Amino acid sequence: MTRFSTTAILLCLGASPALAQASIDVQAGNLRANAQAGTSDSHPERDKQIARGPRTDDTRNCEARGVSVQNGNSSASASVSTSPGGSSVVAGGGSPGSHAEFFGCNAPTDRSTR
Amino acid sequence: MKYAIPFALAIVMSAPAFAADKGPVGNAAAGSGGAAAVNGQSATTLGAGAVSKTPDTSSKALAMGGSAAGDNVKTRSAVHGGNNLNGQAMAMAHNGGDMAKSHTVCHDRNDAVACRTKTMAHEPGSKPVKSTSEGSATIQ
Repeated sequence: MTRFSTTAILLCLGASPALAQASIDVQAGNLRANAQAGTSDSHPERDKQIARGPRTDDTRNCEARGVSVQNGNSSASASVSTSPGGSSVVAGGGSPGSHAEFFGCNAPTDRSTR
Repeated sequence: MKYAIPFALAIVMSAPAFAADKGPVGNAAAGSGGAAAVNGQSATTLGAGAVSKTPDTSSKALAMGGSAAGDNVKTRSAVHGGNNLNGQAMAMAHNGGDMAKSHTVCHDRNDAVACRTKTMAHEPGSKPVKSTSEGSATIQ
């Protein structure tokens, strides 16, 4: 019987400044998620990561994937990404007017605007 | 040889609403996640959502994910709904005896976000080890 261990770490990083923005970061195993509410430029680097992302059509690394959901007026956003390892799946959605974009091996087919 | 690590934590975060003429407005974000592993089988799921409400509109975004590794794995994730979003992510891995499962459900409403993750790790001859984590935030 093979021994196997998995560690999972969840982190919550966020603040609720005077502008009443809200954000959350969650990490468990090889998954990472982020959600933000309220227009904010307090995480410009993170926004760049979402916008640029590891977006690729290279399906040789199909185990790593992610989704980024952005509301039309950018007041709400959420994203999930996985690192290689095992079988992974992601899903995202938003209220009408939002845009969901997948990256990783889902990228060629799964892009939607509602 | 036994080895099992189910692990789950919850995160709760809410942002204070700011005054509005038409009911509560503001922002909220919440999520939860967890992982279970036993004898080479592992499963992880998580979800995170946000809602931003103004007197005129309510904007939401929800993302879910799952991952599993082991001999036989199954993963599934989906987000449904329009004005109210419901998402779930499931991940399971087993080898015919040992099994690890994780399941996260999130609800993104007009004024609140709530997520719950349940994990379970089981190996023959032992009681299943379960855990639940929740995260929620409400615009007040």
